[in-house]
Amino acid sequence: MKLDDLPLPALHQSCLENSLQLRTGPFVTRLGTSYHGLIEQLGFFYSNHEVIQAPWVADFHVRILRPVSVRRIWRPQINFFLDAKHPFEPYALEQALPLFEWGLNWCIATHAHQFLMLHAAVLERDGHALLLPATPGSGKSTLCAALAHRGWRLLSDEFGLIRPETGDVWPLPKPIPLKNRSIEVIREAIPEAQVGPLFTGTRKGDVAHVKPPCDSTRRQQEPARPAWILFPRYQSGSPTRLQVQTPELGFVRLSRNSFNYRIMGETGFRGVLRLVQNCSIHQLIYSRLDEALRLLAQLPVPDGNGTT
Amino acid sequence: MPDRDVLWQYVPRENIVIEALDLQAAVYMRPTGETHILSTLPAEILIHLMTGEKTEQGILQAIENAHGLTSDADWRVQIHASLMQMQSLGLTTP
Repeated sequence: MKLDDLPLPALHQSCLENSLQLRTGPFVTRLGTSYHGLIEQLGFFYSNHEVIQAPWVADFHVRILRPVSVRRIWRPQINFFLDAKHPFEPYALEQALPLFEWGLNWCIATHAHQFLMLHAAVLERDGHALLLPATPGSGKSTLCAALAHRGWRLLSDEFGLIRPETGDVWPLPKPIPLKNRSIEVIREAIPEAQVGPLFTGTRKGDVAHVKPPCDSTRRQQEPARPAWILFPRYQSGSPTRLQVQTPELGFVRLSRNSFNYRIMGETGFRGVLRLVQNCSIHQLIYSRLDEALRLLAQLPVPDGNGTT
Repeated sequence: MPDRDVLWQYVPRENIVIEALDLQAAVYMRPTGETHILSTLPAEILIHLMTGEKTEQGILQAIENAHGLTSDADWRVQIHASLMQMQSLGLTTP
Protein backbone atom coordinates (compact mmCIF):
# COMPACT_ATOMS: atom_id res chain seq x y z
CA MET A 1 0.00 0.00 0.00
CA LYS A 2 1.03 3.60 -0.56
CA LEU A 3 1.71 5.94 2.32
CA ASP A 4 -1.12 8.09 0.99
CA ASP A 5 -3.54 5.20 1.53
CA LEU A 6 -2.71 5.11 5.22
CA PRO A 7 -5.26 7.13 7.24
CA LEU A 8 -3.60 10.07 8.98
CA PRO A 9 -4.21 8.75 12.52
CA ALA A 10 -2.67 5.41 11.49
CA LEU A 11 0.38 7.19 10.04
CA HIS A 12 0.87 9.12 13.28
CA GLN A 13 0.40 5.95 15.32
CA SER A 14 2.96 4.05 13.23
CA CYS A 15 5.48 6.83 13.66
CA LEU A 16 4.89 7.00 17.40
CA GLU A 17 5.36 3.23 17.67
CA ASN A 18 8.59 3.28 15.57
CA SER A 19 6.90 0.97 13.12
CA LEU A 20 6.42 2.91 9.88
CA GLN A 21 8.11 0.71 7.25
CA LEU A 22 8.83 2.85 4.23
CA ARG A 23 10.30 1.47 1.01
CA THR A 24 12.70 3.67 -0.94
CA GLY A 25 14.02 1.71 -3.91
CA PRO A 26 15.78 -1.43 -2.66
CA PHE A 27 15.76 -0.31 0.99
CA VAL A 28 13.15 -0.49 3.71
CA THR A 29 13.46 1.96 6.57
CA ARG A 30 11.66 1.42 9.83
CA LEU A 31 10.95 4.89 11.07
CA GLY A 32 9.81 6.37 14.31
CA THR A 33 9.19 9.96 15.34
CA SER A 34 6.86 11.85 17.58
CA TYR A 35 7.40 15.17 15.81
CA HIS A 36 4.16 16.03 14.03
CA GLY A 37 5.80 18.56 11.73
CA LEU A 38 8.02 15.84 10.27
CA ILE A 39 5.15 13.38 9.93
CA GLU A 40 3.19 15.92 7.90
CA GLN A 41 6.17 16.57 5.62
CA LEU A 42 6.78 12.85 5.15
CA GLY A 43 3.11 12.54 4.26
CA PHE A 44 3.64 15.07 1.46
CA PHE A 45 6.99 13.95 0.04
CA TYR A 46 6.54 10.20 0.43
CA SER A 47 2.80 9.97 -0.32
CA ASN A 48 3.39 7.65 -3.31
CA HIS A 49 6.02 5.46 -1.66
CA GLU A 50 5.19 1.95 -0.56
CA VAL A 51 4.46 1.31 3.10
CA ILE A 52 5.03 -2.26 4.21
CA GLN A 53 2.62 -3.45 6.87
CA ALA A 54 3.70 -7.07 7.19
CA PRO A 55 6.56 -7.93 9.57
CA TRP A 56 9.77 -7.07 7.72
CA VAL A 57 13.50 -7.10 8.27
CA ALA A 58 14.19 -3.43 7.69
CA ASP A 59 17.55 -2.23 6.36
CA PHE A 60 17.64 0.76 8.69
CA HIS A 61 15.96 1.47 12.01
CA VAL A 62 15.75 5.24 12.20
CA ARG A 63 14.23 7.45 14.84
CA ILE A 64 13.98 11.23 14.70
CA LEU A 65 13.51 12.40 18.25
CA ARG A 66 13.40 15.60 20.24
CA PRO A 67 15.88 15.65 23.12
CA VAL A 68 14.74 15.20 26.69
CA SER A 69 16.38 18.39 27.92
CA VAL A 70 15.91 22.12 28.00
CA ARG A 71 16.55 22.08 24.22
CA ARG A 72 13.07 20.63 23.87
CA ILE A 73 11.68 24.10 24.53
CA TRP A 74 14.60 26.57 24.29
CA ARG A 75 15.85 26.80 20.70
CA PRO A 76 14.35 23.35 20.19
CA GLN A 77 16.43 20.68 18.52
CA ILE A 78 15.99 17.26 17.01
CA ASN A 79 18.25 14.20 16.77
CA PHE A 80 18.74 11.46 14.20
CA PHE A 81 19.17 7.96 15.59
CA LEU A 82 20.28 4.89 13.69
CA ASP A 83 19.58 2.01 16.08
CA ALA A 84 20.85 3.39 19.37
CA LYS A 85 23.50 5.67 17.86
CA HIS A 86 23.11 9.28 16.88
CA PRO A 87 25.90 9.97 14.41
CA PHE A 88 25.22 13.71 13.95
CA GLU A 89 25.03 16.79 16.08
CA PRO A 90 21.43 17.82 16.76
CA TYR A 91 19.65 19.97 14.18
CA ALA A 92 17.22 22.81 14.76
CA LEU A 93 13.74 21.32 15.16
CA GLU A 94 12.38 22.98 12.04
CA GLN A 95 15.08 21.22 9.98
CA ALA A 96 13.78 17.75 10.83
CA LEU A 97 13.07 16.83 7.20
CA PRO A 98 16.56 17.79 5.89
CA LEU A 99 17.99 15.87 8.86
CA PHE A 100 15.97 12.78 7.94
CA GLU A 101 16.99 13.05 4.28
CA TRP A 102 20.70 13.53 4.96
CA GLY A 103 20.62 10.94 7.71
CA LEU A 104 19.06 8.31 5.47
CA ASN A 105 21.60 9.12 2.74
CA TRP A 106 24.35 8.61 5.31
CA CYS A 107 22.87 5.24 6.32
CA ILE A 108 22.87 4.11 2.69
CA ALA A 109 26.33 5.45 1.86
CA THR A 110 27.91 3.78 4.88
CA HIS A 111 26.08 0.45 4.80
CA ALA A 112 24.77 -0.55 1.37
CA HIS A 113 27.92 -2.17 0.04
CA GLN A 114 25.97 -4.74 -1.92
CA PHE A 115 25.94 -1.90 -4.48
CA LEU A 116 28.73 0.04 -6.09
CA MET A 117 27.58 3.49 -5.02
CA LEU A 118 28.30 6.54 -7.13
CA HIS A 119 27.56 10.06 -5.99
CA ALA A 120 25.33 10.74 -8.94
CA ALA A 121 21.89 11.68 -10.09
CA VAL A 122 20.34 9.02 -12.32
CA LEU A 123 17.50 9.30 -14.81
CA GLU A 124 16.07 6.89 -17.33
CA ARG A 125 14.53 7.02 -20.78
CA ASP A 126 13.35 3.95 -22.72
CA GLY A 127 15.24 1.64 -20.35
CA HIS A 128 18.55 3.52 -20.77
CA ALA A 129 20.01 5.22 -17.72
CA LEU A 130 21.76 8.58 -17.70
CA LEU A 131 24.25 8.96 -14.85
CA LEU A 132 25.17 12.47 -13.71
CA PRO A 133 28.11 12.05 -11.33
CA ALA A 134 29.09 15.34 -9.81
CA THR A 135 30.61 17.29 -7.01
CA PRO A 136 28.58 19.81 -4.96
CA GLY A 137 27.89 23.03 -6.83
CA SER A 138 27.98 21.45 -10.27
CA GLY A 139 24.25 21.89 -10.88
CA LYS A 140 23.48 18.16 -10.61
CA SER A 141 20.29 18.46 -8.58
CA THR A 142 18.95 21.36 -10.65
CA LEU A 143 19.46 19.41 -13.84
CA CYS A 144 18.06 16.26 -12.25
CA ALA A 145 14.88 17.98 -11.02
CA ALA A 146 14.31 19.51 -14.44
CA LEU A 147 14.94 16.28 -16.38
CA ALA A 148 12.63 14.37 -14.01
CA HIS A 149 9.80 16.63 -15.24
CA ARG A 150 10.79 16.67 -18.91
CA GLY A 151 10.43 13.11 -20.15
CA TRP A 152 12.99 11.32 -18.01
CA ARG A 153 12.20 8.99 -15.11
CA LEU A 154 13.93 9.92 -11.89
CA LEU A 155 15.91 7.05 -10.42
CA SER A 156 17.84 9.06 -7.86
CA ASP A 157 19.24 12.49 -7.20
CA GLU A 158 22.06 11.30 -4.98
CA PHE A 159 23.00 7.66 -5.57
CA GLY A 160 23.98 5.69 -8.62
CA LEU A 161 23.32 2.24 -7.14
CA ILE A 162 25.05 -0.22 -9.45
CA ARG A 163 24.32 -3.90 -8.90
CA PRO A 164 27.72 -5.54 -9.51
CA GLU A 165 26.24 -8.85 -10.67
CA THR A 166 24.28 -7.31 -13.54
CA GLY A 167 25.65 -3.80 -14.04
CA ASP A 168 22.11 -2.42 -13.74
CA VAL A 169 21.42 0.78 -11.86
CA TRP A 170 18.71 0.67 -9.19
CA PRO A 171 16.22 3.43 -8.43
CA LEU A 172 16.19 5.26 -5.14
CA PRO A 173 13.57 7.97 -5.62
CA LYS A 174 13.68 10.44 -2.75
CA PRO A 175 12.95 14.16 -2.53
CA ILE A 176 15.47 16.20 -4.55
CA PRO A 177 17.15 18.84 -2.38
CA LEU A 178 17.58 22.12 -4.22
CA LYS A 179 19.95 24.62 -2.71
CA ASN A 180 20.01 28.39 -2.72
CA ARG A 181 19.57 29.90 -6.20
CA SER A 182 18.51 26.66 -7.84
CA ILE A 183 15.23 26.75 -5.87
CA GLU A 184 14.03 29.76 -7.83
CA VAL A 185 15.48 28.41 -11.07
CA ILE A 186 13.32 25.28 -10.80
CA ARG A 187 10.24 27.16 -9.59
CA GLU A 188 10.43 29.34 -12.70
CA ALA A 189 11.50 26.75 -15.26
CA ILE A 190 9.39 23.82 -14.03
CA PRO A 191 6.25 25.33 -12.49
CA GLU A 192 4.57 21.93 -12.15
CA ALA A 193 7.35 20.61 -9.89
CA GLN A 194 6.04 20.11 -6.36
CA VAL A 195 8.48 22.07 -4.24
CA GLY A 196 8.13 21.75 -0.47
CA PRO A 197 8.85 24.26 2.29
CA LEU A 198 12.00 26.35 2.34
CA PHE A 199 14.48 25.47 5.07
CA THR A 200 16.69 28.48 5.70
CA GLY A 201 20.13 28.53 7.30
CA THR A 202 20.88 24.81 7.05
CA ARG A 203 24.48 23.62 6.88
CA LYS A 204 24.14 23.73 3.09
CA GLY A 205 22.40 27.09 2.94
CA ASP A 206 18.74 27.44 2.01
CA VAL A 207 17.21 24.13 0.95
CA ALA A 208 13.87 23.15 -0.56
CA HIS A 209 12.96 19.68 -1.76
CA VAL A 210 11.19 18.61 -4.93
CA LYS A 211 8.76 15.73 -4.52
CA PRO A 212 9.70 12.77 -6.77
CA PRO A 213 7.23 12.42 -9.64
CA CYS A 214 4.57 9.75 -9.13
CA ASP A 215 5.76 7.53 -12.00
CA SER A 216 9.26 7.51 -10.57
CA THR A 217 8.01 6.26 -7.21
CA ARG A 218 5.61 3.75 -8.75
CA ARG A 219 8.49 2.18 -10.69
CA GLN A 220 10.98 2.32 -7.83
CA GLN A 221 11.91 -1.35 -8.17
CA GLU A 222 12.51 -1.22 -11.91
CA PRO A 223 16.24 -0.95 -12.67
CA ALA A 224 17.76 0.39 -15.88
CA ARG A 225 20.81 -0.25 -18.00
CA PRO A 226 23.48 2.48 -17.82
CA ALA A 227 23.94 4.11 -21.24
CA TRP A 228 25.32 7.60 -20.70
CA ILE A 229 27.71 9.08 -18.17
CA LEU A 230 27.57 12.85 -18.12
CA PHE A 231 29.65 14.99 -15.79
CA PRO A 232 27.64 18.22 -15.45
CA ARG A 233 29.28 21.55 -14.74
CA TYR A 234 27.29 24.70 -14.30
CA GLN A 235 29.38 27.64 -15.55
CA SER A 236 27.73 31.04 -15.49
CA GLY A 237 27.52 32.66 -18.93
CA SER A 238 29.00 29.66 -20.72
CA PRO A 239 27.49 28.33 -23.95
CA THR A 240 25.97 24.87 -23.56
CA ARG A 241 28.25 22.17 -24.89
CA LEU A 242 29.01 18.48 -24.63
CA GLN A 243 32.65 17.39 -24.56
CA VAL A 244 33.59 13.76 -25.12
CA GLN A 245 35.56 12.25 -22.24
CA THR A 246 37.93 9.34 -22.74
CA PRO A 247 37.16 6.06 -20.94
CA GLU A 248 40.33 6.39 -18.85
CA LEU A 249 39.38 9.87 -17.66
CA GLY A 250 35.85 8.61 -17.05
CA PHE A 251 37.30 5.74 -15.01
CA VAL A 252 39.35 8.06 -12.82
CA ARG A 253 36.49 10.50 -12.28
CA LEU A 254 33.94 7.77 -11.52
CA SER A 255 36.17 5.85 -9.12
CA ARG A 256 36.93 9.06 -7.23
CA ASN A 257 33.27 9.94 -7.19
CA SER A 258 32.20 6.61 -5.70
CA PHE A 259 31.23 6.32 -2.03
CA ASN A 260 32.67 2.82 -1.72
CA TYR A 261 35.03 2.12 -4.63
CA ARG A 262 37.89 1.10 -2.34
CA ILE A 263 35.67 -0.86 0.03
CA MET A 264 34.33 -2.87 -2.92
CA GLY A 265 37.86 -3.88 -3.99
CA GLU A 266 38.05 -5.81 -7.25
CA THR A 267 34.24 -5.79 -7.56
CA GLY A 268 34.33 -1.99 -7.59
CA PHE A 269 37.13 -1.99 -10.16
CA ARG A 270 35.17 -4.28 -12.47
CA GLY A 271 31.97 -2.31 -11.89
CA VAL A 272 33.51 1.02 -12.89
CA LEU A 273 35.31 -0.63 -15.79
CA ARG A 274 32.05 -2.05 -17.13
CA LEU A 275 30.43 1.38 -16.90
CA VAL A 276 33.12 3.20 -18.85
CA GLN A 277 33.37 0.41 -21.43
CA ASN A 278 29.63 0.32 -22.13
CA CYS A 279 28.52 3.94 -21.77
CA SER A 280 29.16 7.05 -23.80
CA ILE A 281 30.97 9.57 -21.60
CA HIS A 282 30.70 13.33 -21.81
CA GLN A 283 31.15 16.47 -19.82
CA LEU A 284 28.22 18.85 -20.03
CA ILE A 285 29.03 22.51 -19.50
CA TYR A 286 25.94 24.65 -19.22
CA SER A 287 24.56 27.90 -17.95
CA ARG A 288 21.03 27.74 -19.40
CA LEU A 289 18.78 24.98 -18.19
CA ASP A 290 16.50 25.03 -21.27
CA GLU A 291 19.48 24.54 -23.60
CA ALA A 292 20.84 21.69 -21.49
CA LEU A 293 17.44 19.97 -21.51
CA ARG A 294 17.18 20.31 -25.29
CA LEU A 295 20.64 18.88 -25.78
CA LEU A 296 20.03 15.92 -23.49
CA ALA A 297 16.69 15.15 -25.16
CA GLN A 298 18.67 14.44 -28.34
CA LEU A 299 21.27 12.14 -26.80
CA PRO A 300 21.71 9.19 -29.14
CA VAL A 301 21.50 5.77 -27.54
CA PRO A 302 24.94 4.13 -27.37
CA ASP A 303 25.43 0.72 -28.91
CA GLY A 304 26.65 -0.82 -25.67
CA ASN A 305 30.31 -0.34 -26.49
CA GLY A 306 30.43 3.27 -25.43
CA THR A 307 29.95 4.63 -28.94
CA THR A 308 26.86 6.32 -30.33
CA MET B 1 72.78 4.03 -17.21
CA PRO B 2 70.15 1.34 -17.69
CA ASP B 3 71.45 -2.15 -16.96
CA ARG B 4 70.47 -4.07 -20.07
CA ASP B 5 71.19 -7.47 -18.52
CA VAL B 6 68.67 -7.19 -15.69
CA LEU B 7 65.70 -9.46 -16.19
CA TRP B 8 62.37 -7.83 -15.51
CA GLN B 9 59.26 -9.67 -14.47
CA TYR B 10 55.65 -8.99 -14.01
CA VAL B 11 54.11 -9.33 -10.54
CA PRO B 12 52.50 -12.75 -10.01
CA ARG B 13 49.57 -13.05 -12.37
CA GLU B 14 47.15 -13.93 -9.58
CA ASN B 15 47.89 -10.61 -7.91
CA ILE B 16 46.83 -8.39 -10.75
CA VAL B 17 43.89 -7.62 -13.03
CA ILE B 18 44.71 -5.78 -16.22
CA GLU B 19 42.03 -4.58 -18.62
CA ALA B 20 42.30 -2.58 -21.83
CA LEU B 21 40.76 0.87 -21.67
CA ASP B 22 40.80 2.41 -25.10
CA LEU B 23 44.54 2.92 -25.82
CA GLN B 24 45.43 2.66 -22.16
CA ALA B 25 45.05 0.01 -19.48
CA ALA B 26 43.39 -0.14 -16.08
CA VAL B 27 45.26 -2.22 -13.56
CA TYR B 28 43.94 -3.49 -10.24
CA MET B 29 46.41 -4.80 -7.65
CA ARG B 30 44.75 -7.46 -5.51
CA PRO B 31 47.18 -7.35 -2.56
CA THR B 32 46.87 -3.59 -2.04
CA GLY B 33 43.55 -2.68 -3.65
CA GLU B 34 45.32 0.03 -5.64
CA THR B 35 44.16 0.98 -9.12
CA HIS B 36 46.46 2.38 -11.78
CA ILE B 37 45.75 3.72 -15.24
CA LEU B 38 48.70 2.99 -17.49
CA SER B 39 49.45 4.81 -20.69
CA THR B 40 50.22 2.91 -23.88
CA LEU B 41 53.89 2.08 -23.42
CA PRO B 42 53.79 0.77 -19.83
CA ALA B 43 50.66 -1.21 -20.70
CA GLU B 44 52.45 -2.75 -23.66
CA ILE B 45 55.49 -3.57 -21.55
CA LEU B 46 53.28 -5.35 -19.02
CA ILE B 47 51.63 -7.37 -21.76
CA HIS B 48 55.02 -8.51 -23.07
CA LEU B 49 56.23 -9.38 -19.58
CA MET B 50 53.16 -11.59 -19.16
CA THR B 51 54.77 -14.04 -21.62
CA GLY B 52 57.87 -14.31 -19.45
CA GLU B 53 60.68 -12.32 -17.87
CA LYS B 54 62.74 -10.15 -20.21
CA THR B 55 65.65 -7.76 -20.25
CA GLU B 56 65.10 -4.22 -21.44
CA GLN B 57 66.57 -5.28 -24.77
CA GLY B 58 64.14 -8.20 -24.85
CA ILE B 59 61.21 -5.91 -24.20
CA LEU B 60 62.37 -3.56 -26.92
CA GLN B 61 62.69 -6.45 -29.33
CA ALA B 62 59.20 -7.71 -28.47
CA ILE B 63 57.68 -4.30 -29.12
CA GLU B 64 59.58 -3.96 -32.41
CA ASN B 65 58.35 -7.37 -33.51
CA ALA B 66 54.77 -6.71 -32.46
CA HIS B 67 54.49 -3.50 -34.39
CA GLY B 68 57.06 -3.87 -37.17
CA LEU B 69 58.95 -0.84 -35.89
CA THR B 70 62.58 0.10 -35.71
CA SER B 71 63.47 1.58 -32.36
CA ASP B 72 66.06 4.18 -31.45
CA ALA B 73 67.91 5.20 -28.30
CA ASP B 74 64.99 7.29 -27.09
CA TRP B 75 62.82 4.15 -26.94
CA ARG B 76 65.30 2.43 -24.64
CA VAL B 77 65.24 5.42 -22.31
CA GLN B 78 61.44 5.45 -22.27
CA ILE B 79 61.23 1.72 -21.62
CA HIS B 80 63.68 2.03 -18.77
CA ALA B 81 61.74 4.96 -17.30
CA SER B 82 58.47 3.02 -17.57
CA LEU B 83 59.98 -0.02 -15.88
CA MET B 84 61.28 2.13 -13.05
CA GLN B 85 57.92 3.80 -12.62
CA MET B 86 56.09 0.48 -12.64
CA GLN B 87 58.60 -0.90 -10.15
CA SER B 88 57.74 1.95 -7.79
CA LEU B 89 54.07 1.00 -8.15
CA GLY B 90 54.79 -2.65 -7.43
CA LEU B 91 53.87 -3.78 -10.94
CA THR B 92 57.28 -5.05 -12.06
CA THR B 93 60.36 -6.34 -10.32
CA PRO B 94 63.92 -6.71 -11.61
